Amino acid sequence: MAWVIQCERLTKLYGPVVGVKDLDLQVVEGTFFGFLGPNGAGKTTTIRLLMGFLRPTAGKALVLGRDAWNEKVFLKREMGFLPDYPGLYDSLSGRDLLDYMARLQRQRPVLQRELLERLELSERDLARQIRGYSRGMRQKLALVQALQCDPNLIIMDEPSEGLDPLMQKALFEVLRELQVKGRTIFMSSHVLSEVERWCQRVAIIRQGSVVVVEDVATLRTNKVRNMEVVLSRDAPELNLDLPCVLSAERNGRTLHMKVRGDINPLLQELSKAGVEDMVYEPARLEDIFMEYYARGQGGH
Amino acid sequence: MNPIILGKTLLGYRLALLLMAAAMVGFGMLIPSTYDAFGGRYFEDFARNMPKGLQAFLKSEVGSFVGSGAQGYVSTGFRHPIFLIVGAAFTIAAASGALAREVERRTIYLILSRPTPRYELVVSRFLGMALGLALLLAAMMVGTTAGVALSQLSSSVNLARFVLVAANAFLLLIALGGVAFFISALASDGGKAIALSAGFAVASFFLDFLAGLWEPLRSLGPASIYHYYDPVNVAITGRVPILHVAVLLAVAAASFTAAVMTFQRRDIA
Repeated sequence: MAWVIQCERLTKLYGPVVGVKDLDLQVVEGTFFGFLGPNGAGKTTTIRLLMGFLRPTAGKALVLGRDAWNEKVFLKREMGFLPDYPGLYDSLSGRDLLDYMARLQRQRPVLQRELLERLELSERDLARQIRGYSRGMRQKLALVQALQCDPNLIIMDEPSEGLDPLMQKALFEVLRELQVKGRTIFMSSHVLSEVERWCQRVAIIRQGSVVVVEDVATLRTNKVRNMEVVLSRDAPELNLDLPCVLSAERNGRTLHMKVRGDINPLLQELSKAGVEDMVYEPARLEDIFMEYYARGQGGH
Repeated sequence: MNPIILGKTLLGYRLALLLMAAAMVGFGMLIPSTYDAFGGRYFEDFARNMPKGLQAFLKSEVGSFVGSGAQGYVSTGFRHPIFLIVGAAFTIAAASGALAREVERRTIYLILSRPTPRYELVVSRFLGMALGLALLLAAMMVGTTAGVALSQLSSSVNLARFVLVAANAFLLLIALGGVAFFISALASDGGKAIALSAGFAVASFFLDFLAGLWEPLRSLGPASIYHYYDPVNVAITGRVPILHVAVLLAVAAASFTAAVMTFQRRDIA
């Protein structure tokens, strides 16, 4: 398993203000990785450390096995980057900007044509000066410049900002295809639904520290969820002393349970009494996220 | 040096450079054509009556002009506020735009997300500024040459010496550019970089000016970069003092090196 990103006790202080502190993070090659957190949690600082824009106060950040600060120039050959609120040269045309960026990358923009097509940027759009672009068009142009040379590692800060839902879908389909081809995608977002839908693995950052790194599927499995079951008959003999049942309350034929993990043994047990009705709370990433944040605000 | 960044830098300057170069040609032509209005061959009489403040501004005691005729008069164009302001404005705008403005507009993230060392960006932008300055000074030389010819002063003006004057001006502006690049390398706000660089240029100019005017400040004159720029005497004597060349080069080299090192190590946030 090759690590593409490795952060160990990574710390960045802006004077007395903490950007990130003792941040540990690993991203495996070929993963679509979501980096979640609200504004000000440290997502952008982490990304800037990975890109070598900031020098760590302590700890280290390795990208593709190399030091992100000391070997930043070498690393950029393999990387595509989308900043948050990308600044573009307003006096250039979209076409000139893409050409300029490809020449600086010293690689052929092999994906440019396909990206322009899928993100619906026409040659007529590209002929115009960027200062006349809408927010969405600017974002699409910034995305094309980041991806056009087919980089091995793609780092994106809030990539769907400013895109309409159709374009968001088009973007994530492109990213998913790149991931299937073996590219690694590291994306920050505060939009939980898009991370839940597209990412395989997720890190949640709170106040500059990573509070959890997990597969989205595992996070869902491990979430404590409410289950309400109405049995077909009273069944006092039912054994609810199972690993997945954290707590259970009986009220006649109705059971209120808190469950986690593999619920198959519970389902087998319930089937003995017969199930008349059942409500099983979905494991949404949003709830998981809120759970971690609620813990933090409670001082745990 | 990165030729791609250099090319883009020069393309970005093209409109401003074109307008400024046209202004320099026009201004260069204007000075010789006003020679007669300021006394012509009786210019020395005019010079003798110049207020002390103006003499200090031109960095020339009355004696400097004795026997200089049109040569001395034409050289004042290179000390004229219009020439100094246009040169300094281009230098400061180019330096501030090169780094601080890029950080402010967040375009720096696009450039630095490419395999481009930071020093290459600084060197390429500095070279772009230097080429722009060379073009402006060449335009001033073209204008002066044309003005001298049109005013029929060719026999009394040694234009070869004005190449040295232009070289002295180039060194002055490169030294100012070095300092402005250092400020730009530290700043994240283009406006602030322009204000600080302009403040440095103005303070340095007035220190030199006041040192020539007011005896108690005379010893502070050498602290100003303008102390080492003396177009009137260079045009008249045909010689740039080696100390002037050395100091201006040293300031340019030291401040440019400081700019590269600062930008290389700073956080881009």
